[in-house]
Amino acid sequence: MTDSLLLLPTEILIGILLALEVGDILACTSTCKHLHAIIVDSLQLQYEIELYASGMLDGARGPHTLPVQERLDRIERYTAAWEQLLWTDRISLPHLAGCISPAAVSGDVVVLPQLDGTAVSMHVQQISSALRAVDEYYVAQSTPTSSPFFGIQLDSAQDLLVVSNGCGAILYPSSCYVA
Amino acid sequence: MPTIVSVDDSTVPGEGSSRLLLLVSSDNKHIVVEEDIMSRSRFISKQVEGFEATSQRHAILLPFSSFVLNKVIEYCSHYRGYYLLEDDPDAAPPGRSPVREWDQEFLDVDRNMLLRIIKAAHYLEIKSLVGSCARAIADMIRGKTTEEMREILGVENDFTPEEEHSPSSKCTG
Repeated sequence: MTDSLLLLPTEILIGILLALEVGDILACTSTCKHLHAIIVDSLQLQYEIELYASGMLDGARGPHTLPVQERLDRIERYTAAWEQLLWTDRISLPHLAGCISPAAVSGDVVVLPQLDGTAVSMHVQQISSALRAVDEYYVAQSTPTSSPFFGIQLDSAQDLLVVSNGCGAILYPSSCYVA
Repeated sequence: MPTIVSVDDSTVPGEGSSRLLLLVSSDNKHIVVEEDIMSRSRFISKQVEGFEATSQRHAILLPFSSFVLNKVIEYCSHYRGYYLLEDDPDAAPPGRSPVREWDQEFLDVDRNMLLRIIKAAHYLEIKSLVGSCARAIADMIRGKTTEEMREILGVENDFTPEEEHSPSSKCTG
């Protein structure tokens, strides 16, 4: 005779479910009504499911620095903002006034070229995001170069900044040469 | 109230060993165990605090069999004197973190036994053991089909055919 696991206290069942991957948690919702109700009513499990659905991971500071409800609300605000393309914030960067377009954006890093006479310098900045709880952080400014300037591309994941100068490209920041 | 059994100071061996506790299982087996082995159990610790407050020690009656109780004592003896983070009252639930190797072997038992151990650990308030059992049960469920999950969980499909075919009612609510 096998006893039902559902006779266990709800907090234990939630502990078991929290040890599962999201796919398995969702499969468990289809097993019976009682387990379905436990999963729907558990804030922590809903957070796991929503986090997975949004394609995000808990931050490096770990999942326990904020209450679950607040984390769940943040995911909802994030999803809603993209679904409705809402402007959630406006940031002005006074020290970058006078930067010429085009800028390049990759991840939460933006590069803005600034023209001073014929010299161009690059400002690299991490942009704050209330939605993603990222603080603003000024990264670097390159030394001005006087090469012609046509456009830039940035891939922050590869540490790659490509600057077109009309006759080739300059790569920053690990090496600086004309391709 | 449990019956008062005389477990007086004469049962305390010398050389600084801890006091002895008398545990009585549901099949009426009397098991004597050192107090500091069982201090991992919040439930037992509270009982012992009670003994100290009233200066009266008595047997602790437990609602599970000696077979299960001995298994729990084995766990507590293994980790005697060790600090386990999960036993901290403020510790976060272990989630998907891996089960310690020793626990994995210790919990390599059948489903029903695992169920009895987790119930006993919950009753005795041994958070680390509850956490390890929960993850061991999760390992049994992981990657199974819904029908296989029902068998492991011991539940019947009580959805109506309409409910079963309407994903909106079954997903996240």
